[in-house]
Amino acid sequence: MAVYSIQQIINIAKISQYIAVSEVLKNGLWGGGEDLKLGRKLYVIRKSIEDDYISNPSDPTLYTTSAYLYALCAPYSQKAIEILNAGGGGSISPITPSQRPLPLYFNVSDTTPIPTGGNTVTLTQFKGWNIVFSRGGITQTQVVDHNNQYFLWNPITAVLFIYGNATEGEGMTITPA
Amino acid sequence: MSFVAAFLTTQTQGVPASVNFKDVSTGSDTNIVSRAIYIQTSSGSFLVTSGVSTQFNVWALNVNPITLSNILTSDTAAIVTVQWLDINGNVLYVSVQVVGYTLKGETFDYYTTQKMAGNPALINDNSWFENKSLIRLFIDSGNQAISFASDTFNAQLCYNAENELILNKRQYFNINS
Repeated sequence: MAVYSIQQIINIAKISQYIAVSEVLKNGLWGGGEDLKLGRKLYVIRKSIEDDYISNPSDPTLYTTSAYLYALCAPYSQKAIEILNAGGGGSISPITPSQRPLPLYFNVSDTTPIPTGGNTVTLTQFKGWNIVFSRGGITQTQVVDHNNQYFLWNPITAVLFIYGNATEGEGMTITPA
Repeated sequence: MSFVAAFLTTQTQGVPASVNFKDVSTGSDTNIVSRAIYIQTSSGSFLVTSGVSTQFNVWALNVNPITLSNILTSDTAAIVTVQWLDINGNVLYVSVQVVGYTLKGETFDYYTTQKMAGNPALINDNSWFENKSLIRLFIDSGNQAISFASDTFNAQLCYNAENELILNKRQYFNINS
């Protein structure tokens, strides 16, 4: 059996969750025998693991809790993995957190990943990871409230979009988390 | 500098029926004279503002951002396409996003939280908290269907379930409209 990273299990759980909800809704009376609360179980447990993983990715208990989460995904996990692969979610080849990609540090120029005047870059090496993005030494937020959003990161497509074009000489750090 | 088409689409707090668009393209192309916005729902229909008889909304080049008012009746999963056109109406550039417009559900979810804060005993009411957590689950599941699979059908299924709870809030939350 493949061994999945914690981030991959979180992604598998996100997909399994919506499939579980959708199956119950489509199956009508009594959800066609499906576990009526599976979607909610997956949401609540995944959310707590995800928040802990973001704040403390080296927490040793994550191994056990994410294994439990993966087990809960069982009815739909294979379908979720197929969707992850088909949807450009990147390879589900086994990786472990110890193989985390190296962070990127650069001062903006015409030859850096985000060049002078640019605002987007595809970072395939960070696919499947969350990132911490800092600019001029200040950690940027990605709060989707349309007011405090300074960058947009899609871990599936690995596309990073920054608000405010990069300026020559500006220091940037992109760290996988 | 070559033209790279890009746009952002958001909703404004308090106006869940409307959608905002902002052109964040970089570069320039003097052949561009107009833009068109297509918003296609999971059922295949196109959303346009009142009085528009085409399948698209015209987005004049000198208007940025633009708000399309009263085009949503409930939370909606949509494939949004913006086209940049030349003087003959030929499509020069296209940008496509799959989007979940969920402000109505998010607003109602927060409203129920406000009700709980005002009356903490509500959590003990029959099924009250169960139904509140379903709202959260349906919104989140719809969002996952979009972000991982661009699956507007299953996303809309989830959003419709959430809308059902909102429409029948008297039954589910003992809230009179």
